Parts: sequence; structure tokens; C-alpha cells
Amino acid sequence: MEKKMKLEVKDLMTIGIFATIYIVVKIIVGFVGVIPILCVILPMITAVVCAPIYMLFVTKAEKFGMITLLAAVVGAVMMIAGYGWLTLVVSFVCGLLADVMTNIGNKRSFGKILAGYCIFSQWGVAMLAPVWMQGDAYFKDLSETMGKEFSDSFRAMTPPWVIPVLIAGIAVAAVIGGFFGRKIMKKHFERSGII
Amino acid sequence: MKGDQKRRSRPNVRSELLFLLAINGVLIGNVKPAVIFALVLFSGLLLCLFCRISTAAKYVLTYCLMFSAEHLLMLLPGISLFHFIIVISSVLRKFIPCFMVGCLILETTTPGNFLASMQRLHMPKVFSLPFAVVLRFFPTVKEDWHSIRSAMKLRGIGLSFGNVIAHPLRTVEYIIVPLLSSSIKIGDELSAAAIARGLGMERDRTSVYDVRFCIWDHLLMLAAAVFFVLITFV
Repeated sequence: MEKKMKLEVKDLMTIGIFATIYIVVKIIVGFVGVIPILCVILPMITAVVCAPIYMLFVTKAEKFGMITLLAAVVGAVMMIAGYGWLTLVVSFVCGLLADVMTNIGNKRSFGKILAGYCIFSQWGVAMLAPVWMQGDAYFKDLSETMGKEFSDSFRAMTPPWVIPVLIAGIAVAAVIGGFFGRKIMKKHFERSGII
Repeated sequence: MKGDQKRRSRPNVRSELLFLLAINGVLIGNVKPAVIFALVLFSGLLLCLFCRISTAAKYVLTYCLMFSAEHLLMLLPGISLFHFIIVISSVLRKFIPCFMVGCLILETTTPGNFLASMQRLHMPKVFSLPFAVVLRFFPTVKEDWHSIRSAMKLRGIGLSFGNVIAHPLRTVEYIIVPLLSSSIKIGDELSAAAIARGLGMERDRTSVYDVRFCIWDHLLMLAAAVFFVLITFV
């Protein structure tokens, strides 16, 4: 099948619609994050729950650039909703890499899509990163007023290795989500002919 | 929205975005509580003027509650869980002004106005069009979500804590599948409507929206500059 490269209005609409569903579902999942400890594993829950949306989107998005744009739009909305500009930058880069990963070679395979989704989901790290970046600034300010005890316990709670662990955790969650998404696609959408 | 067609009584989305970016970028650093409180009050004023007073009150109250809760927790003996909560809360608290301005942008910008404004900025259509779709489509999906929820409740598989914990993946399936299948149908209609409105054209569209800068935009940009300087240097 010959691939058309130029994005048409219909493709842009598809991106907008899937971005909306992704964001709404992400907000619903976000209510779980009200409990302070759970907000750390929020990106992982999102990676599992949003996988069917992404899988359906990838089957509709046959052109290069659509996954990048999806990530950019989601990132932009998250930035406007108050999450910091880092979210937009990271989600754009993740989307671009996922796009390259998915479209590399002549034919897509489930493995490539799954790898792409693992990369795509990493943008969730950017939403938590400020807690660590700011935590440091805050900690400097507080160590004068609160004493060493506070700083030690804060350091113990946020070791620097949390970020790599988070990235690995999201990747695992994305793989689980990918298989879950494929199951749902087969069960509901392929059978009813929506794809 | 009426004001957009007659005399402009609110700032354009471009200056709102600029304001958001100006405060968003510098809030990462170390900021004096008084400055943040001023920012919260100013954003509250914006919400009162151009959105809803109840929304403004909600955010300002949340800020005050978090601030006092933190200081109460600090008085208690040092348990590390408390410290963790204090830090998380103090970081989230800083971003409340961003949430407020974001709420203002997302709730009061119409897709048509947004597209016209972005066209003036020479933003490529590949970015602005999907974003306009998000603005247009967000309330629809939210409505869908509420009807799915009540349909689930009717069948006794409501979103109770027990149900979510016992069958997490099944619950997700019950929500996502109807959401996706209804949205895809609406999506096809939307793109037909968009093409009928000439969004597929190569050349610029004309618009009834007045997107020129007015007095509100100048005031808002001045405020952005003032807060940028305050946050960075005070």
C-alpha cells in the first residue's frame, strides 16, 4: 500500500478526537492520585488504562507525524491545565520517538507498536519531575528553618534513583497495557468492523 | 462569547496564553509565599471577571486550606510521612495559579475564536486544528462519560471502590469501549462539518471574531511582566 505523506483535515480531526478521549480518561484516572502516595504510580495506571485508546489511534493513524502531533496536543493541553512547560517538551520528544519507532521499516508489527507505546507513555515522568526538581529548591529553603531532621527524612523519601525506576515501571505498565489494548481491539472493534 | 462579536470585553486567548507561559516558566524556582498569594488573588480576579465567581472562590479556598494545613502539619512532631505530604502539597500549591488561568482558557475560549487567533499568530494548522477539536469535543466526551457512568450504575456495576479494586481491567473496558465507539462516529461527522466550513483550504480563512488586541490584553500583558519580574527577582 502506498503511503500518503501529507496530513489532511480528517487526520487532524482524528488526532484532536483521540487527544480529547486520552485527556478525559487521564483526568478520570487522576482522581486516584488524590491519595498522596498513589500519585507516584499515576503514570503507570495511565499507561495501562489509556492503552486501548492509543492502539485504536495507531490503527487509524497511518501517516508519519500523527503520533507526534497526538503527543504534542496532549502535552499542550496538560501545560495549559497547569503542569509546567516541561510536560510539553517531554511529550513532544516522546511522541516523535514513538512515531519513528512505530513507522520504522516497511510494515508495522505489534512489536513495533508496543515499543512505540512504551516510549509514548514516558511523558508521564515529566508531570512528576517538578516534585523532585522543586523539592530540592524547597528543601534548601526549609533546611534553615526546619533543621536537619526534616531534610534527612525528605531525602530518604525522594532518592535520585526514583526517576529511572519510574521510567522502567512505566515501560512495564505500557507493555501490560499494550496486550490489554490488543485484546480489547480484537474483542470489540475488529469484530464490529469499526476499524 | 457574545462580547466577541460586539465590543470586546475580555482578553484574547493569545495574551492569556502568554500570561500563563510567563508565570508557568518561573514558578519552578524558589518563590516567596506572598508573591504566590498575590498571583492567586490576581488569577481569582481574572476568573471572577471573565469566567465564574464560584470557580474563583473554589481555587482561592483550596489554596488557603492547603497553606494552613501545611503549617499545621509542620507544628506536629516530625514523622517522615508528614514531611512527604508537606513537600508534595507545597509544590502543588504553587501551581494553583496555573490551574486557574488554564481553567479560564479552556472554559472560555471557543474553537472558532481560537482558530482565528492562531491564524493571526501564523501557527501551522497541523497544531491549531487538533487543539481546536479538543476545545470543541471536550464537553461532549465529558457528557458521554457521565451517561456511561449512570448506565453502569443502572446495571449494578457502578464505579464503587470495591468494584474498581476487584475487577480493574474489566471496569476500564466497560468505560473505554463505549467512549471510543461513540466518539469515532461523532468524529466522522465533525470532519465532514470541518471540510464544509473550509478548514481544508490552503489559504487563510476569514472570521467574524475580532481578535485584535484591546485594553484588556495590554493590561494582562503588563500583569504578566510584573509577575515575571516579581517571581524571578524578589
